[in-house]
Amino acid sequence: METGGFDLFFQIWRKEYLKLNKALFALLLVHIGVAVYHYLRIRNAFIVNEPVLLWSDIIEKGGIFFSRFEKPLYLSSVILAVLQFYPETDKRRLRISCHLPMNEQVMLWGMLAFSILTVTIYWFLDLAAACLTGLRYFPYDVYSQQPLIMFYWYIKALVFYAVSAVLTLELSWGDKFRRGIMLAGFYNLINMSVYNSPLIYLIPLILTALIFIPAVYYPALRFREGGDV
Amino acid sequence: MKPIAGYLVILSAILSFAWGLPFFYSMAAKKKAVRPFVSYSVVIDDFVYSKQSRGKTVYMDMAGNEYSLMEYEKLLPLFFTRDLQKWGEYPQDIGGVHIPAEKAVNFRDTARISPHFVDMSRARIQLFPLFEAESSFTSLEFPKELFRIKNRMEFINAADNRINREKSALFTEALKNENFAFPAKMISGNTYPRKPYDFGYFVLDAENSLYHIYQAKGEPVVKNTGIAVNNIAFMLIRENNHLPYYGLLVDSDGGVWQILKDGYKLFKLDVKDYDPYRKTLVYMLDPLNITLKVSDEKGEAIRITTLDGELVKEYNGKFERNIYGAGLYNALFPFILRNNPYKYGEYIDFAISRNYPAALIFSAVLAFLYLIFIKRAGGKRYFLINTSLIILSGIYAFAAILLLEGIKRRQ
Repeated sequence: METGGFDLFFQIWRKEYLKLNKALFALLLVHIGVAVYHYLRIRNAFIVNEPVLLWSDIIEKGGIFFSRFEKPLYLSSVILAVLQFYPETDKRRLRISCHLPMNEQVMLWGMLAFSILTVTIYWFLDLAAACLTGLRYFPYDVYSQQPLIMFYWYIKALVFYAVSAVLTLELSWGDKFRRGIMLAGFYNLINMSVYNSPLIYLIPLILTALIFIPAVYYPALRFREGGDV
Repeated sequence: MKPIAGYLVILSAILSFAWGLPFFYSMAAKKKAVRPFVSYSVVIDDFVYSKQSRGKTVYMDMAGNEYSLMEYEKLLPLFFTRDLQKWGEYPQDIGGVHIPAEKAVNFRDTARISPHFVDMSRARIQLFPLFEAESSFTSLEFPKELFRIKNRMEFINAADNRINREKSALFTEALKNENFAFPAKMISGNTYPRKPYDFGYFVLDAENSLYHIYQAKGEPVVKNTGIAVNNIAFMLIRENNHLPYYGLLVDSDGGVWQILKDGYKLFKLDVKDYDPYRKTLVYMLDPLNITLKVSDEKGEAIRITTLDGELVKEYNGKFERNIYGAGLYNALFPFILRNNPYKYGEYIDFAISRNYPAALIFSAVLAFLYLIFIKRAGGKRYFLINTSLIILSGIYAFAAILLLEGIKRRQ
């Protein structure tokens, strides 16, 4: 009898948590560290310089003063994907799991959802830290732009996660290389680092992400049949 | 689910390749395109140009005569005035008009308005410094506050990130007294303090009336200019005592005007086929003429008018493509995804091949090759979908399907 639904979903989350908890905590510390560092750098900049000149400089150059949150989020996504799926490729555990009497798609979706939720939590932490600093030191016109710009980073981080998962799940280096060539372009397709970008541009970027993210199913489901689609 | 996942990988790869392949082709086949810098010489009443040729700069006129650099500069005395003065060669009479060297130097303006620049002014955070226009000092002091005009005019002090309520109320009241309709749709001015004087900002209100706002001895000065242009795309403000205008005004339809200091009248410039969101306008003023260059990646059109707007001469030139094998590029890539060159920021733009029929033929050839390939491999599953994908997206789908090993084996 096949198992599925929420029970399976939460069992998978429990398994993923047990597998990843140390890494999750370490990454959480990294994000907290970046947030503290960001606050201190901004605070020091405002102590040393004339505040209005800092504002003016950011406005005239369109400078993203919270950009130090961008790369750690991507890095977390990549680390998460590798740590989550690499053990599954070892001795083809995922293949065995795919043959258990349960819905393989729910199982995979459970694994993906766990990491998407984790990336979302990290992103919320970053957003909260960036906005609190922005609220303290910048006018509404500047800090109100932060959520939108950081939302693009969030979308890109999810695609980073998906592409890293695909590359991890491919067993041979040849396949990893081919998939890398096929998917690497996402890095330039999902970009937005300017203030006041029109909201309409969110649509193609989200659609692009929605095409890339389910691509994880492709290498994962190949495990069931031992390599082929 | 597995075939769907496979096709999502193919679709992802098509998107990736549509960005990556044209990008790398352009990078690998990049060449320096020879694009002459064309100017109007009032001395010979013809266009002259300079361009790079075999590693050196050559100077020529449209009749094919070649000049040395010194001879070339003598043909453009209003452009190279200081050099000619230094050589003692500056002619006091140019084009039959007496123009002292100081006037040639001072009565001059140059502006380059690119789509990128227009979009940048839209994307800019709408906070501005308001300088003191009647300062007791020679240099302008950067204020401690920046202002915005939303539902009222507000000054925000950067030191404590709080609104200066007193000053905000003073300026808001002054705007209301002049029937300003909040919020402002556009604010244009020069935000840097290194300028000879400050003359404030031109502000478009919610009802498309253009106001001139500045600060004199701490008091607001608000003037309704009476200018009503419905679709202003961009304004470029000059603060130059020698010029008869405050700046340039560009509308969405490509109309360009000088905003004259004489009663805020508008003087329309003779610009043709200009789209501020797609083309670049170069505006050059000298004591005799106005040069208006409209260009895009394909070429440029130059119109020379008198200061009164009468057409003197015009020129049209095509630009060379800056990649080798442009024809191959157009045939290889049926469409491309690229960073939108007209926008400020990293926006992805979709562009169809400049030679789509050639790209379609090439895609059909690839599809035919693919059919031969799967026939030899003895497969037929999904071949209709794959062939359609190749016809639609050419080399991108062809490469993606071949690289996706699983699908290939199925054939």
